[in-house]
Amino acid sequence: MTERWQDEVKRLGDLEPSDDIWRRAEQGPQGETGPSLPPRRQRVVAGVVAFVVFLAAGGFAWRALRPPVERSVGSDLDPSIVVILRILERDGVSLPTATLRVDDRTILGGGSTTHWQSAGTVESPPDFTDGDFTPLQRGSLLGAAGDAESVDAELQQPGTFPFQSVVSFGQLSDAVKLDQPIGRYVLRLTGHWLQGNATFYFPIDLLDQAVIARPDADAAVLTFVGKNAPTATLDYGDGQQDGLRTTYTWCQDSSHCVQGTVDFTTGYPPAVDHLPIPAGTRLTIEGDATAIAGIFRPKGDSGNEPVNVDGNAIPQTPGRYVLQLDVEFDQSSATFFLGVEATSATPTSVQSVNELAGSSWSLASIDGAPVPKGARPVTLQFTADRLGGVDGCNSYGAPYRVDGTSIQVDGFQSTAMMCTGGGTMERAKALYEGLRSATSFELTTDQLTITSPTTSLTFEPAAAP
Amino acid sequence: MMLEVEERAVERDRGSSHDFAQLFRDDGPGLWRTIYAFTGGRRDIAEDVTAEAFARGLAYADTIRDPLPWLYRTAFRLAQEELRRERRRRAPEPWDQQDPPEVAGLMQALRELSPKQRAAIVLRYEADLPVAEVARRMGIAQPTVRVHVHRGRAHLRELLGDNEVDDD
Repeated sequence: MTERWQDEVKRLGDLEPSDDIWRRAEQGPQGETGPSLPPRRQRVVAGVVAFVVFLAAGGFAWRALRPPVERSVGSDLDPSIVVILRILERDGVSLPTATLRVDDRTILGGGSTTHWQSAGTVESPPDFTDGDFTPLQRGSLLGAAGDAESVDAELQQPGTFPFQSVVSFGQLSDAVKLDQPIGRYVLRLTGHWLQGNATFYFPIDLLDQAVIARPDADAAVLTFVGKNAPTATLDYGDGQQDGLRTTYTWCQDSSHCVQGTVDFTTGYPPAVDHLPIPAGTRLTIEGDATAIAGIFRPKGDSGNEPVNVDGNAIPQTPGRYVLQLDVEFDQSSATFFLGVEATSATPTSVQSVNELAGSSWSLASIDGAPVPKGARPVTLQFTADRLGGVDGCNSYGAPYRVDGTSIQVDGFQSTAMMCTGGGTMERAKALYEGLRSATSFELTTDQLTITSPTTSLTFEPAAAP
Repeated sequence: MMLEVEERAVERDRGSSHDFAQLFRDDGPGLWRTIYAFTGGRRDIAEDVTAEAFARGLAYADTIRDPLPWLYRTAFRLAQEELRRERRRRAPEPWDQQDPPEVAGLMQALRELSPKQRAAIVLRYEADLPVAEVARRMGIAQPTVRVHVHRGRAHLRELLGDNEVDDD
């Protein structure tokens, strides 16, 4: 049974063109005898427009090619966020995938697949840790791309699954603005394809102008580059491994494609070296891939009970795995195999107890000099791996690590508003110097002191809101 | 491990051997109907553009690798230029032409869609082409075709009503 509009569209097939079209075609092109010049006024306008376009293009080229500058808040921070929902074909089975692109970062969606033609109905509650929440700038625009017929989006409150809805954006036909209050959310995206629906969850941390360094000094990094012959590289610590590319295609246009295959003879999955990485280490994904489906196969396993790369992490169970990745780029696609040895040793920073996580403070003194009463408050909050707050004027944030009573702060960033009077900017400068070069801290029930070679910062517990 | 790497370039032959007369018999009416929809029912533009696209195809046969998508893309471009030219000339509203009665309701609804949505809908549902082929003929990416088809379909469903559905 078809719909009415389809029947009507079919009726167009009854229309026929005139009989003399072919005769006219045989008489040769009519519109290419050399275009006559447009009127003088039109030519002047066209010239001016061309000049303006030339200037604009020069501007864009300069922006693209100028030497990189350290990104700080207030300069050029408007990351647009694009969720790409696509189907990848693997072993004759179509898999729904979701990736989130934020600037040059790629985040895979942890998902539950629902009502999928080849999989039936599967519901797997997503499982997040503190480190999974991706910092996003509040007010960013979220848009959708890919091959889904439509995409529904909703912000939810993290907690017990199923999560509570905060706001539903409905169908993402146009970009929507993430201008909810700062805090942690789960971005729930449901893609609708002809084959079925699939839902993906991205834990995000909306920050008010504070941005957004890579939080993961300890992460393993998977980098994809999709030029003529696509590549995948896995980096961890000093180790690096190139992915074994078994198939790829690269199309210059719709009729000129290069296809490559590697015929491996040692069974499936193919033999690869195994890069040692602590079990549970997070995977950061970089490069220009537009869709990724990843799967860990335990070594020797022929494909049964594989471990999906959900949550972007090395498997928690130590052992050897082969990581199979099906990746699409704008003009190419490829399948890669990489070997990973998930080791039981985890980094000390993960094992050590972080006493600072979850605490909130207010600056009390700098090098023993108390902050004047009535001054704009300077705050400091800690999550498991990030610190941040307000310096009296601007928001700031940075990833940090502790080991015992040692502390190290990297990738410090802040907004860049100017505030005058009351010594606000001077205190902010001392705060940044103290935090940037901090080496140790001392924590009591009612005081936190952070010490660097040049500065000592003393904080008192923040008043409850 | 023995690795054997095979690469092959896939490129269609260039050539003057394309039989444009046969191509016109097979695909000319479909091309005309697509442009007819693309222009929102402008029979005159559709005929001029179809004739001109085939004329240029004949003239440049030696350099055309894959003639059918080439003809479509040329026809879309010419039709768009003509519509733009008319707008600049502030030509009278084109819809004063009489639509054939059997498609009058459809054409009225199609005019509520964008030209690319109209073309995508006609290629997908009148010519029954797969999305990849629609993309090839329109010279745009497959996901973009899906977006045009999805939005066009939703709009037509709204305008013409539906009486359900089992093939989607």
